[in-house]
Amino acid sequence: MAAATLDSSQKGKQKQVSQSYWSLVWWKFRKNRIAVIGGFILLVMYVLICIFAEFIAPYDLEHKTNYPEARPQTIRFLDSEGNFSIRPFVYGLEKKIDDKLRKRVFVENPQVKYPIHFFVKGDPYKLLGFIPGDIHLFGVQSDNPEAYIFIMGTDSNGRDFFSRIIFGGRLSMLIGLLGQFLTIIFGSILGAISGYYGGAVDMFVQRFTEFLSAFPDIPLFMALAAAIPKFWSPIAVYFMLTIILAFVRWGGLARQVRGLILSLREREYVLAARSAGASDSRIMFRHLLPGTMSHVIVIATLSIPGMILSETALSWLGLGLRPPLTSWGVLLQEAGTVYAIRFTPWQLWTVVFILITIMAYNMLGDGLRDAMDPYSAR
Amino acid sequence: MTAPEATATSTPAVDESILLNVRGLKKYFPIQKGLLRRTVGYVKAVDDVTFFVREGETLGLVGESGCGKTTAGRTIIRLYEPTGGEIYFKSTVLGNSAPKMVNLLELDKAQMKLVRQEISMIFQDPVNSLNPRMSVGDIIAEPMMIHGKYGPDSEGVIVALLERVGLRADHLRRYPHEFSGGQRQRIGIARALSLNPRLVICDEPVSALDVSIQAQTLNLLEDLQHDFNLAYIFVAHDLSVVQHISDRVAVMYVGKIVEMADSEMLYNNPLHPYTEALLSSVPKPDPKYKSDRIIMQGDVADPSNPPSGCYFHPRCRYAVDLCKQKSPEFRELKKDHFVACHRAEELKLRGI
Repeated sequence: MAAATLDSSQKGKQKQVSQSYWSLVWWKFRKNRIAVIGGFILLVMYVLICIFAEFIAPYDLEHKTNYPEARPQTIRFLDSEGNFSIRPFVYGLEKKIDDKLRKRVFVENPQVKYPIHFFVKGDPYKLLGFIPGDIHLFGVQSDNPEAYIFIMGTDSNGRDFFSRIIFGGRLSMLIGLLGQFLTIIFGSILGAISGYYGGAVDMFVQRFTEFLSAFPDIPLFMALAAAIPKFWSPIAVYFMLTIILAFVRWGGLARQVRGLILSLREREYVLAARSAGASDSRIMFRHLLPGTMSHVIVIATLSIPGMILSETALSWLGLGLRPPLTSWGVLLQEAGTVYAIRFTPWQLWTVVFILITIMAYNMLGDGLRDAMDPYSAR
Repeated sequence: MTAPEATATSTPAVDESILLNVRGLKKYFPIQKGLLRRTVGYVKAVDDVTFFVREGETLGLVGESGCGKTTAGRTIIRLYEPTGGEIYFKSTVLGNSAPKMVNLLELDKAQMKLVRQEISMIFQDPVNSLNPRMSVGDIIAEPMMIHGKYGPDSEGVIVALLERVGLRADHLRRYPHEFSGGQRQRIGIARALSLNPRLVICDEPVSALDVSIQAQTLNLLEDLQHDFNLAYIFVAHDLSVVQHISDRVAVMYVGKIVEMADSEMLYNNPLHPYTEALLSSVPKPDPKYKSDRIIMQGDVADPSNPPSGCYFHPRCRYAVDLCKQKSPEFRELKKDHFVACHRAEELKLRGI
């Protein structure tokens, strides 16, 4: 009955004065400039790359042109005669034979200018698999079907490298997220069971994680990746690889969760719930796991880069994703020859994207780690 | 070891007002060593403890740190599974509203869960005993939710309970870190009362609070006892606190109860030398009082390797050879005054 006295205006006031744990965390996180920047970069990258890749990339992933191994075009405002144009443009490309190298090269032809437009019509696509469209963020508009813009050059098949990086990022960045999600699920459930029940279960889980972590990573990856049947569809291979990465990595997280559960289960609030007759699952999901979540999130954030790098390394070794799937690792593999570094060094642009992603994750993770303990001073 | 007859005499079986009757309760924790976790011995945290609590009264359970008083409290509600003994509780829920004595140790899980509505606990540490991720309302509602008693008007009940323990209705949606130690303990008390229990086990509910707050909390507990006809088992190490709140007091030493009596009787005429020594350490608010404490020799006995005979004999001023050889019986020397000491009849001990 007294509840009726809690009218809505009072409730509004309470919202203002009362802070849940997560609102305190957010409060503290916001004050950490670097972490906010890291989080913002990631948010932008995930939205642009994972959701809007087709729109951002000027060309389709497999759009082959007649300009293989073209170097990146410079975006210009001044032409060779010194005329300024407010609209940026690129010069067209012209095939030449380099006599010394005995090799075909493409050079910029100042006679042909292609102005750059935003929101141009290009290769048709389906956003998120079902929204059809053909508008791209930027591109060149010209009657000449051979007019292209390659801001990061092309690969040996004449495909726009910037587009490929964007599409490749989708797989690489999602594998980190998906794999880490699976790791959290495996790790926290097994860790929680191990810590809560103890005894033989604990013994088994702990020995198993020790076995996994004692095993050298790369040979294990190789063995597991080699076990993926060749005839599987690329998407199945992709998910299999995600599961493999998660499978190898959940051990560390499980141990940390176990340790936390061991300390939390002796807390008096857990005893209070047990003395009131709470079931094991209630204690686990209402009292124990929420207490470990902040820690798990920090660990997960800080280990996503490792996941992304593992995918990259595996694909680079030829054990992970294979063409036609395109990830950053696959792109690096294509760039991993002396020939590529000598003649198409712009393929190393992939590294810059990987670095930015990993730096951003580390910045975010550091900030989260500090923010997750909002009761501490500082 | 208490002889069986002594146990029998200590329980007036006909007494209708008895709510909880604990007989020969034992809780041994195994000591495991080595790779194979072999059990090499036991810590006898609670060793053959017998006591009872009447409806609406407060039994103080006192003793030094590590004497097993907290373990005893937790074993009663089966937070720890007892090694042996019997715990009889007059349950209304299981008796279909006619009170019925049941042995808690013979109940299955579902029945025990029902009984848990009638016995609740208040914990020592106000910081640790409230889940920091739950709001005050959720914390107090939790026992109701566990027992499927949370309904549309429960929020009103909770608000009334909050106000009853001295908090405000608008504290409902706040989180534990926003409260002081005394306020948090009030939240813990409200949680303990949310299912209308008959017996509340208070595990050192005031020892983590400062002195002025202690008094407020004790008074609150006393008021609540009156209003709801609660019985308390009040575990504490501070004799002055226990004296304030208890009707009867049981003194524990190394897992055993050495003396149990009405609190006035126990404080004025202790029959056990350990009680005497404890009482001499109670500070008195009188600047002219010349302290005359009995300084006990040695340390508390190790419960995994207790001394022979009476566990207290190495520290006892009155120990004789018999004390080293034979364990004293826990017997009713005067009416309602139980003691476990060979020399209880002959000694003249000092009270307060």
